[in-house]
Amino acid sequence: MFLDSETAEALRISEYLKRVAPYTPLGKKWKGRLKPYTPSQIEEWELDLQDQQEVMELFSESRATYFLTCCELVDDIDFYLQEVLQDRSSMLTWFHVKRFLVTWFKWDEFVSAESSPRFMRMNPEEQRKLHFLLLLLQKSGRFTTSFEVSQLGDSKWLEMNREKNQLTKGIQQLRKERQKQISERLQRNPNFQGEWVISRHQESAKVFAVDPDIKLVRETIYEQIYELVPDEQENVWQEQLLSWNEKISIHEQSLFRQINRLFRDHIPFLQSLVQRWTRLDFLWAKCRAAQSWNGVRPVYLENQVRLIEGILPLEQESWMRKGYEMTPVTLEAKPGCTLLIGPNMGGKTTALRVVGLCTVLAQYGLYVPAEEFCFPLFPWVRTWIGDHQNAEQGLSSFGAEMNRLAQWIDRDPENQGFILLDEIGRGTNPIEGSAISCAITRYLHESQAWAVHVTHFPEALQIEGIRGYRVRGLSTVPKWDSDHPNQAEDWIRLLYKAMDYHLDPIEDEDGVATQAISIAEICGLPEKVIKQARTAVKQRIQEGDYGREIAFRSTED
Amino acid sequence: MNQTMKQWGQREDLQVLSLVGISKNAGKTTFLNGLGRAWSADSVGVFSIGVDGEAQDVWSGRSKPEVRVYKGWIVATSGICLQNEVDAWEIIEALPIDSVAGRVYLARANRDTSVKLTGVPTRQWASLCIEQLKKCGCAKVIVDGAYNRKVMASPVWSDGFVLVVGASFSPSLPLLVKEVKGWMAKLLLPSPAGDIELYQSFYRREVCALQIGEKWVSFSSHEWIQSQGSHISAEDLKQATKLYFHGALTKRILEQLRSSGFTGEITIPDWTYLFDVLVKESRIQVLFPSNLLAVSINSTSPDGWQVNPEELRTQIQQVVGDIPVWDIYREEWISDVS
Repeated sequence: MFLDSETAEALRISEYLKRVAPYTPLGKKWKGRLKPYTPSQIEEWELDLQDQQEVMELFSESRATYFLTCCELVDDIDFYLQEVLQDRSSMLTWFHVKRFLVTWFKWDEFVSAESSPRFMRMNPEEQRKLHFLLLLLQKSGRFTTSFEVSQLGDSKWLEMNREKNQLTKGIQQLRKERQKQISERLQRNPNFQGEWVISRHQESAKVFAVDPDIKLVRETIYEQIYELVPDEQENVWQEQLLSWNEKISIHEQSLFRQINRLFRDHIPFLQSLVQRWTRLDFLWAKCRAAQSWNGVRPVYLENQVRLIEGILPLEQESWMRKGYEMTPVTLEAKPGCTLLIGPNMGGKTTALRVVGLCTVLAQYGLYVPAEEFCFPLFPWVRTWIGDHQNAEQGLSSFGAEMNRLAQWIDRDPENQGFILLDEIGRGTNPIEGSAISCAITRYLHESQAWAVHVTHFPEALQIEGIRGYRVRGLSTVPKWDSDHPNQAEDWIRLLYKAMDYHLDPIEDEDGVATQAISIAEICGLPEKVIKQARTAVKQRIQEGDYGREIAFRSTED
Repeated sequence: MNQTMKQWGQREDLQVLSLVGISKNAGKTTFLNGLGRAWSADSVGVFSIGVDGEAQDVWSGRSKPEVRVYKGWIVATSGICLQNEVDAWEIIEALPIDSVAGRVYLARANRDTSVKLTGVPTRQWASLCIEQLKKCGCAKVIVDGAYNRKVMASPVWSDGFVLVVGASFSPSLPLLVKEVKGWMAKLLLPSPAGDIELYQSFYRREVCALQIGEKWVSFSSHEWIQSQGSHISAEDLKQATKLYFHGALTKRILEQLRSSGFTGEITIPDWTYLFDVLVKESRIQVLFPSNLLAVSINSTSPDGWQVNPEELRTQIQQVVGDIPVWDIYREEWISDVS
């Protein structure tokens, strides 16, 4: 499995994938099959990205708008093609099929004016086929998206309909004239339905009762309802009309069967059009998602992950609403473990997430939120970020952590995935935690696994050849002012302003940052507590608990 | 009658006309067919609302009457209803609307014909139907209502409506007349004398508002329902002189207001926001007055009884005052006019 649920959740992958929003029902179905490319699918991956690039270059605002308009006309055409295949077509089937063909026809006209990628338009042979099929459904005139049987242009059907309509008119005229005569004779007009409604106690009721040209059809305690008795002419015409209706119905069925037969031979062509439209819809959906986070095309690079100015778009959007701006992340990782060190609240976990997000999005064939991103395509990606207590399994944070790690780090060395770890070992006593963390880091580094590890434990820096990055950290320490009315609420803002989130490569003499007490002070811990903590640290340094190799950097020194 | 109907057809301010029945099987479709006869030469769109638009009325099991449509008219109905007379229809559009009988299509009649209209179940979809029918060139849209779904007759949605009073409500003429009196009491509610612009702004923002002294306090109807009015202090309610309520005004809410000591006037958007409320002496006003055009009566019930048609007309006319009362089934149709 490329991603497990914890990794997907930690990186908020589903929220990003939601932005891939195809317009058509088939496009949406296609999205359901969206999955990451594997390391053996580099060519397909490149092709997907290239197609997106071409679409983005060619989809001007007007093209994009027109494409949306066309997509609104494209239904689940697959369903209707199945009706054709199974010889179950009806008027509605041909309406939908015709609408799809006209949509393609108009789209092709629209994009053919300029050079467009092959998948966006039809070649001359396809255009001829499309035109031929459209003519089957609409014999003449400019192609429209509506459908009616007369458009089939069948002369026999047209003639039969003409006869029928003439008969209908004739009957209507005859009845109208007879009604008029009767109305004049009986001194009363019928209602809008051509019925005479007569109150029982009216004098004229007797006259109505005996008139030979009308008959009683209903009566109540208050009234009687009469209608015209058809004369001989009308009876003849009504029979003829019935006969014409039957003949027309039979002929219509035959017409649909004929069209069905002609279309069935071209179903593979139609299905290819459906697939191409669906693919275009899906590609454009990917492009729109990429545009929403100013995405850049990822590049394949076998032995390195190189990220330049990557961000987390969802978090950035949220922070910007509060007036903060995210510092983009730039780093490189190679086989072996890459460390991330720095003060608390320095953005190390964020950096880890950025790397993870860009990797996963890129592997799904999406553009990534960075200035540049190169990577090798991984068989899988796993993260350990946040608190993952699992009460159901009876696992504490530490237990859950060890459980997951055990599944990842002993995997097939030929099938190295990408592991992103956040402060392994923090959930237990510092001595053993540090030892485990360091041992895992060493193991990953020496086995050339792909890993990035955020840690506070200084021992990890002692591993030979270890690389990594350090958050620059606090340049100055804002002073806690207990009299400030909004101190508690503004501590984030203070911290944000004081913290430099940029990453610098770790130098040999670097040590882990020691700004935790300063940060605790900014967060508002009582002065007494801060003072005691600082005293304890100084004491431990004097007692030699921390060796020269671990160079403490305290901003207060 | 058909002269007036013709005049309606010429009014540019009357684009959407709804039919509302006081009961099921009141005779809306019969009235629609009569109206259609007068508007046969016009470009008309027609559809039905409600979930009972399938071939058989789910409530009574009866066959639903077909609607007579004329050449050039456009209907919105499910595809299944268009399959019977294939030659009669040009399918124009497939709407993203699902009725109980399937997807809804717009179809233009190629000749005079009849069709069953399946219900468009939601207000949003009904609004979409109106928009699409107008887009297709319909100068008039008729909305065939469903039992007790009066929302489309709101002046916000339609430019005029016809109330259809049918004997299906009750075999008792006095009960029928009493019911119509209740309806008319709602339909003839007055509009506020002042603060119109203020009420209109509340309406646009979809909020309720209470005037206490000089100031207005706004809240949502949802808040009121959730807290049963307790989110506003009893003191404030006693002192309040006016309330704009943007929500369904039910008997329960009215009782909550009264029991809290509120004695001021209540303004609601329009009469369709009233539910189970006796409006007599209730100081209720409507921001948008009703646009009742006519009352159509039907003295016959499909269940087999009939009230005296002449008595029905006389008594209903007395209740509705100047508004025309038509017995479309009994009115003589003057051919020259149509």
